[in-house]
Parts: sequence; C-alpha cells; structure tokens
Amino acid sequence: MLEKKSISKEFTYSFEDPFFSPFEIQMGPQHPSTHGVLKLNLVLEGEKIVDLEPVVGFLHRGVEKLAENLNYAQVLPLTDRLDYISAMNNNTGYALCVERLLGIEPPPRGKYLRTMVCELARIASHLLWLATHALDIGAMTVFLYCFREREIILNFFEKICGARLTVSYPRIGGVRLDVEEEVLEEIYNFIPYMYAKIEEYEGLLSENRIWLDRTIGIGVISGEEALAYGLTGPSLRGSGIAYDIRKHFPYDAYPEVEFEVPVGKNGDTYDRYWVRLQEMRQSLKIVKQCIEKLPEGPVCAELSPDLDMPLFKRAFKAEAIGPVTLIAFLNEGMELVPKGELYSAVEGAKGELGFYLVSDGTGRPYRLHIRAPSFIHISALKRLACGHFIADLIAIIGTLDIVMGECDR
Amino acid sequence: MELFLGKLDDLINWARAGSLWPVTFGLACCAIEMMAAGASRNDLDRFGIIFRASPRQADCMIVAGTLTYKMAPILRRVYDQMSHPRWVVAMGSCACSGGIFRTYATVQGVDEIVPVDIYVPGCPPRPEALIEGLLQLRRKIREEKRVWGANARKEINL
Amino acid sequence: MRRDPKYLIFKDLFGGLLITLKTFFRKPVTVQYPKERVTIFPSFRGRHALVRDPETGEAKCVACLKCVQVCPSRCIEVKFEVNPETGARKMLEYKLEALRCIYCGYCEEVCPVGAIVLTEWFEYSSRDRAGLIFDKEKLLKNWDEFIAKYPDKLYTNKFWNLKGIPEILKPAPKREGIWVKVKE
Repeated sequence: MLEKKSISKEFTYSFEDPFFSPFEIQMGPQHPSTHGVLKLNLVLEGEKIVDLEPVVGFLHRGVEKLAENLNYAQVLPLTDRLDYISAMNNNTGYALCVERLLGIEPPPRGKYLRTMVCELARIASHLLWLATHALDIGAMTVFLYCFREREIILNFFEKICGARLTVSYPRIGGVRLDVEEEVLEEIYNFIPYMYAKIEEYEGLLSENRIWLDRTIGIGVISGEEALAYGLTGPSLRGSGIAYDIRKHFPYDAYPEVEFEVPVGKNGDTYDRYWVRLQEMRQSLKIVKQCIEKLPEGPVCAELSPDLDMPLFKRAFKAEAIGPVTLIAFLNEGMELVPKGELYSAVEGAKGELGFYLVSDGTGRPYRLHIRAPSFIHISALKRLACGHFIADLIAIIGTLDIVMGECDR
Repeated sequence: MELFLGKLDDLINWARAGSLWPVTFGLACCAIEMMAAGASRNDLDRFGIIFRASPRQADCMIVAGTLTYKMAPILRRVYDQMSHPRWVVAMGSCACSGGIFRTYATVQGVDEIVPVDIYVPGCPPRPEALIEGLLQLRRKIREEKRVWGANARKEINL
Repeated sequence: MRRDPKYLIFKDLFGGLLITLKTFFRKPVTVQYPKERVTIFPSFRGRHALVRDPETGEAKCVACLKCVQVCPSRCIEVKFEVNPETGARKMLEYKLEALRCIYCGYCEEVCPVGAIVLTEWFEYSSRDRAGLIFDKEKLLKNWDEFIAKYPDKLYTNKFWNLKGIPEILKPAPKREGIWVKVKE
C-alpha cells in the first residue's frame, strides 16, 4: 500500500485512496507576484497543497566565481547586486569581512555613517516588503503609500552618494565620501514624518479583519523548528527567539546606540508582519541617535587598500616622506592581504548575511562564498506551506521575504 | 487614396502607442525600478501603460534584469506567446549586454534571444529614464507605416 | 472577537477608509514627468563625458590607464602612443561601452587629472546598440551638451574633491580638489 506522508503532520495522502486525485502544476518562474524568478513544482489536491518543491537557479549569475577574477575593491559593486533592495547592508558585510582580515578599523565617523545608512536601507527594504506582501494579499493602496516613502529614502541615498539603488557607498576601511550638513538635517526632519506614516500603515492593516483572517494561523512554525531549519532575521524573531547579530556580535557603531529587538509570540504570518513594523520604528530610533552623536574626523581608515590595488603580488607602494615621494617595491614574499580564511556576518534586512573569504596573499580573493538568508529560507517553504491553499502560499512566500538575487547569487 | 491610407496609419499608430500594455519580465534589480516607475511618484498609468500578467493580452515586453541561460527558453516562450504587433524594451545594463556579469551562466545581451527595439542604459536606470525610453518607443510606433492587417507580422531575421 | 462591539460596527474598516479619504484631499506626490522634472542633486552618476581642457580644447586624458584597470566590468579601452624622445604618452583612442557600465563611479574617483566624469544626464536611450558605444568624439560632445546647461562658472564633482578621505589615499593633483572653468 503506497502511503506518503507530507511534512505537515496533520495531512497524509495515499495513492490507493479512491477520492485522492493529485494534480501537478508548476508555478513558473515568470509570475506576476514580484518576488523574482522562483519556480515551484506543486502537487495539489483541489486547492490544497500536498507537496512542494522549489526550483532555484534562474538568476544564477556566477557572482562567486567572478569575484575570483577581480580585486578586493572591485568586488564591492558586485555585492550590491545580491540583495538589491537594501544594498548598503551587503556592502557593509563585505567591507567588514575584508577589514577584519586586514586588521584595520574604520574611524568613528565612518562607523556612525555606515550604521546610519544601513538602518535607512533596512527601512527601505521593509517598506518594499510591506508593499509587495500587501499587494499580493490584495491591499493595493499600501503599495502606493510605501513607495511614496521609499522614494524619499532613495532620494537621500542619491544625495549622499550619487546612485539610488545600487550604491557602492561603504568602502573597505570606512565610507567613500562624507555627508553634507544639509542632507543630515533633511534626514533628521524626515524621522517624525516617518513615524506618522508607520501609524498610517498600522491603521490600514493591523486591525483590519480581512488582513487578520488572511494572516493569523498561516505558516506557523515554532521556535525550535525555525532554528532547526536555519531561519534567521525577522522570520526567526517572529517565532519567539531573540537572536539579532547587532546585539550578539555587534559591529560598527551598534554597541553605542540603544535599541530593542522586537520578538513575536506565535510564529505565524501576522507576527512576522508585526515584528517588521516594530523593526522599522527601532531603525528610526537608531538613525536619530546616529545623527545626534556623529563625531568629527575622517571617514576612511588610512591603511585601507587603494581602488586600483594590483591583482598579483608584485606591486609598488608610494610613500610621501616630507617633500620626497619614495617608491618601494614589494617583493614576492610580502602579502597584500594576509593569508587566511574568515567568516563574518552582519544583520541584513532579510536575515543573517554572511561572507566567507579565503585569501592567499594576492590582490584578489581566492574564494568568496556568500551565505544568503533567502536560499536557506526557501528550504523551509515546504514545511510552512503544505496543507494550506494556494492563496496562502502567496502570503507565505511574501512573509519569508525572499529575494532571488540573493538566493541564486 | 494615399491620403486616406496615411490618415488610417496615423489613427492606428496613435491607438497602439497610446495604450501600450507591457508584460512584466522583472528578473533582478531593474524590476524594482520598474515597480517604482509604476508607483506613486512617477506614474506610468498617466501614459496608458498598465502592467498585464499574461503575454496574450500584452503589447510589449520590458526585460528588466539579468538573463541567464537557464531562464532563456522561458523568455523565448513568453515572447512567442505574445500576439502581434509586439515590441521589446531591454532595460538596464544586464539586459542590453551582459553587464558586469561576463560569466558562464549569463546571456550577453537579450538580443541573442529576441529582437530588441529600444535599449535603456543605466544600472539600474532611473524610473524617469525608463519612462523616457518608453516615450521613445511610442515615437517609434508612431513612425511605422502600413503595419496592420496581413502585414502585421513583421519578418525578423535572427 | 466576533461579539466585540467594535467588530460589529465595522470600526476597523471605517478607520482604514478614513485614512484613505484624508489622503484623497492632500496634494498628489506625482511628478508629471516630461513637463515637470525632479531636480537632480549634483554628482548623480549618469552619462559619461570626457572633460574638455579649457585652454587646449582637447581631452585632458594622459593615458595612465588607471580607469581601464579599475573598472569592474572592463568597459573602457584606451589606445595610446609613446613619444620616443620625451617618453610622454598621448592618448589616441578612448572607447567606452555604456551598455556594460555599472555606473559605480570608480573611474572618476581614481583618475588623477579629472579627465572623465559621470554627468547628471540620464535620458539617452537608443534604438540600436552601436549608438551607446562611446568613442572619444562622442564623449567630448557629451561634455559640451552637459556644459551648455550647467548654471555655474566652475564645475566640480563630489568624486573629484573627496571630502573626509585621508590625503594619502588620494592621487596628488586631487588633494586640493579639481575645478574646471567652463564659462566666462
């Protein structure tokens, strides 16, 4: 007797049952919900999902292999394109990894600027998440409102460094440029406006009966199971476990600013939504403290590597000693970047974004591996979605906040 | 007779250009700027441009993002399912040429797979740049001559 | 929850509708694109241009090939010749593929003389690929087009005068910053 148990425990199916008629369909890579190119092979019975298999790799661009042919500073614009919604966090993660390998630290002003900009990027990412999640569930007004605020934040990015979405603003050793006073004032005045707007989103969604019906009890996962699947970030904090890299392994200016980490109770879609809204508020608090406490000084460390670092070891280094510039040649034994391997992680907007870097002394990485949270969250999709309907599947993909650029690299 | 056909051309081209309905092919980062072009600040609905999900109901296809070899057959399939007349806009560096991704898995330019009418440069292009590209597509449609009836299937050599 | 009086009088739905009604009477945020434009903040990374030297009228490039080396997508190609007596380099051809470029701004940051710049021009889509491969003449023309609309007399760029970066990391002519006189 052929019996298959699906992962969700309350639902079993068997091929011998005369009333069971499975229907296989592919929810293909081009679909109107905006989560990028993800293909799902679904086995349905009526509308209920019985089995699910995600197929990824439609956006695999070979980023990790390409990073082996570029020098350390050239890889930075490449990391922009991973989680393209909040680009500052990826750049910070990579820059932090190389800085830890080199043994340098950015100056205090560089640290505060990086923190401020990362938190602004986190707000922008959560705004886009709310826009697309609500649009998939059916609330189209929220899409337009969230993009209105997101445009303001992208405008700030444009004023700071010249590009809206794929900025390459953090640099190995700090930040690329200093920020002008007018821009800081504008960001400071934006903060109370944004608090009012978050109240507006809550008024539209948090107590709305349609929203509650569609999100409470969908995609429930308990804390221990979430840890077993490797979920991190807001998806884990919605299930009750308070793990945040900004608190447990702090970096940049996070030890010096005060903020709380919101934690949910039930582990369903509504709790993850609530956690992300509270995170937006906490991010605004961090941005306010960063602007108030911003110290003076340079924004980039003196020992940070040049942009046109040579790819191979044989190079020359110019030193200015008084009015004379001495050019000294490095010999084969000296290293541009110390040999070794290092894993370092930052709290990206989606979860724990980790960079594993192996260096062999030359000017380009020997191997760069990126631990992308979206790839790991997709593995939990089967557990979360089996036993629900297709409409709930859309809500679950939205709540896990999957970005295919990060998942496929 | 020529005058009548010329005026008929103008009418048909005006109708086609005025309500250009794209099928979204949002793949990567450029999809976010395409969504921003359709959202509150730069509204594409003012131009009559509504995003349709199904290729059968669409006029043009905006390829936004990097095309990989795994995704290329699907792009060709969606393009084939669009009904004539149809146009293609390649948005961003990765769709026009391969962009920064000169690797084993990336198609170096969407025009290896489908014929492209307008190239919009930028990485990603601003929403205003995308709107300007679409306005240029409208100008191109307005200049077409006698593309209706049996002549509507343009012969392409790929 | 279904017996809660707030639920019976549809308070949550009316609250949401009230928010939407309030937004109805506010000024819309849409910028009517071809007629009204957003002011672009200076140093936005848009179309490339080679700076024309105000004295000689030629490009300032000295063919040091730093931009070629630093570009992450390898979209720049430079051909030069070396004068046999003085050893000076003269740039002959400069080819930039705008469709490969990722607009990172590294070339304008690393150029020691400030020869290449990313202007704020972003409306240049084209019907074919060849129109977006810029050679030296086209890049100089881009500069002229950009300067025709520039309001001030001296042009500078945020990536030419890097504020806050220590001196040792900047190339020598950029330590005091570079300004180019563009109008009388």
